Amino acid sequence: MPDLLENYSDNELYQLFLEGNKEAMQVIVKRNSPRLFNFIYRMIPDRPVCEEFVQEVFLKLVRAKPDFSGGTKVSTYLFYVARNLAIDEIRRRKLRHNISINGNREEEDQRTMLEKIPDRRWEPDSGATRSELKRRVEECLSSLPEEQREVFILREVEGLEFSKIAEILGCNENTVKSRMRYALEKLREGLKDFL
Amino acid sequence: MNEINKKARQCSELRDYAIDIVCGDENTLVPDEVLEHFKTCRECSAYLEGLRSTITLLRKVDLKISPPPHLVSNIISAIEKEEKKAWNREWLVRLVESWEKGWSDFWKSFKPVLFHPAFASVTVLVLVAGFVFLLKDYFPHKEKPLREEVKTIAVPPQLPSPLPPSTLSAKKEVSEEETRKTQELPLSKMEQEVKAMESQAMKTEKKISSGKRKARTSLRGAERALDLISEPSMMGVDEAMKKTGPPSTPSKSIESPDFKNKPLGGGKTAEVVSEDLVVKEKKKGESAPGAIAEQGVPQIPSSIDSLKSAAPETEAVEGKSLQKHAGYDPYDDAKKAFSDGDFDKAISILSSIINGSFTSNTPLSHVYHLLAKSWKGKGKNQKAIIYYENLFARFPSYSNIEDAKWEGAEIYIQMGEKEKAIKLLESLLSSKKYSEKARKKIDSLK
Repeated sequence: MPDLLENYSDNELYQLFLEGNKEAMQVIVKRNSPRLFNFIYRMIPDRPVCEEFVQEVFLKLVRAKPDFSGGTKVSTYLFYVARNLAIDEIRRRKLRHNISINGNREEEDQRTMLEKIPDRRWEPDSGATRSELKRRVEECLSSLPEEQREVFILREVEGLEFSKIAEILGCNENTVKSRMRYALEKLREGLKDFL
Repeated sequence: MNEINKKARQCSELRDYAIDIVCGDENTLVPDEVLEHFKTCRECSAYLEGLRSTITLLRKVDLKISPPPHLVSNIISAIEKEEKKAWNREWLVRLVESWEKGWSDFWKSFKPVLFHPAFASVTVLVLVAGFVFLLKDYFPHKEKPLREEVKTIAVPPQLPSPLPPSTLSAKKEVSEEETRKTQELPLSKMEQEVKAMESQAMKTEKKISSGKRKARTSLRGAERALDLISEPSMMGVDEAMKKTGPPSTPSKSIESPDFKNKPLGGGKTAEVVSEDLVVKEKKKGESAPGAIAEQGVPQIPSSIDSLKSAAPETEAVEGKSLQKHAGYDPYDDAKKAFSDGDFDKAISILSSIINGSFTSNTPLSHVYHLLAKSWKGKGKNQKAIIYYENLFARFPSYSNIEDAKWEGAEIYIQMGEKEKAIKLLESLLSSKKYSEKARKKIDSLK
């Protein structure tokens, strides 16, 4: 039965779930949970928290039973909820961080992204280079501002369209594109050694 | 300069399209003039190339993170739990809706709950608990501990009298003043005053009862005198009076106006009647000393009968009907009751002696022993053993301690407490009377 359901879109599956088909929800979960986990992890690199949030996203879908007849995709809704959860958590953490850290932290924050990245020289070995590159990319990504990082992840990692990203973030499509452009510029600066 | 600025502004504006060119959606259309600009403008071309190479590099890196394998199953189980909760909520909603619709729908809504195992088990539990609660009265109760037997009378705390002593004597004034005060004072003060008045009334009642007691004593004195007169030794009234002492008069301090004038049969007061008695008997003794001997049992005057009939009334009030005269010991009565098999009476008298209601010249050790024996006679071993234990602990040098220990050991054996019984029996091994018996008993128990 779940195999047959694989051919359905998320919205169709959700409709089936509302009609009482519990397996339809299982398919939605299997399809979307890795993406959501990935997205949340890029925002909050904390696995237990990510797991909790992904679960919470689906529970919200079950509890709220939103109406998608307007054309909104289920995945868009899921990312929207996930993003809100992540943003709230980041704000909470920032608040805690600001309370606990003294003034020296401000100087550190004023450094440029390049300055924050540790100086690791490129090495000829391809495997090592790839891991080095990955680490550098992850470092650069984590140092991006949240609004740019989320756009980059949603676009490049999750492969969402700009219009959908705009819908998730609740902003203009051009704004999303601008954020993407700035994100790429900063990443190019950070990955200068590899270009 | 203007041309440079214009070009820079144009480049900045057109670079917004760079994202569409580098990583735009498939259906995104980039104007031809923009594409042309990126071809012709060296800076914009380099910028575009930089972005393109960056995105190419980034796409080489796998940025996807594999979620934990249990994630999906956890989410699914959490959803199932949530659905159950939601089902309960929905059921309540359905229940309310069906109630509004009618009984048949209401029953349909209830059906899944009634047949739910949790509901069924709770119902069974409630039924069983109810059944046990109802049946518990049919089972025999355990014997209450002795502590409940001897009740202590709680003395109510004395409230300070709100009225000064001078006002107490002037009752009329007080009543007027009180009426005035009650109109002014708040409710709590009024209550206090009422309580104080009540305590005063209780005090007066006590005084009256003590007066009655004294009157009764005087009557007994008179009775005793008569008894002595009627003895075959032909003792005179004077001698009898000397022996028993003059009949005591009631306390003058009693302020009860009712008491002195209270008729005690024959329309006479206690004081007057007792005096009359003495005078009459004195006259008899003086005038005809041999008359009593001839008559055998002297004629008790009608006034005495009337006194006797009046006495129980006062005695019943006091609850000391057994205390008859000065030389009387309630222990004797208890002993008699015990020998007659009236254990309840014996227990009542002995308990009164222990708690001080009755005065007795008999040593307490004897009282305890008899009380223990009375309880034993009544078949209440639990209570009996308490008194035995008290006796052993408090009066180790009691003359009949060996008998008591033997009896105690027997009770312990009956109760199935062999160790305690053996302990008591072992203490009897040195006794002359019980050593042999105790040894045999210990052997049989072991």
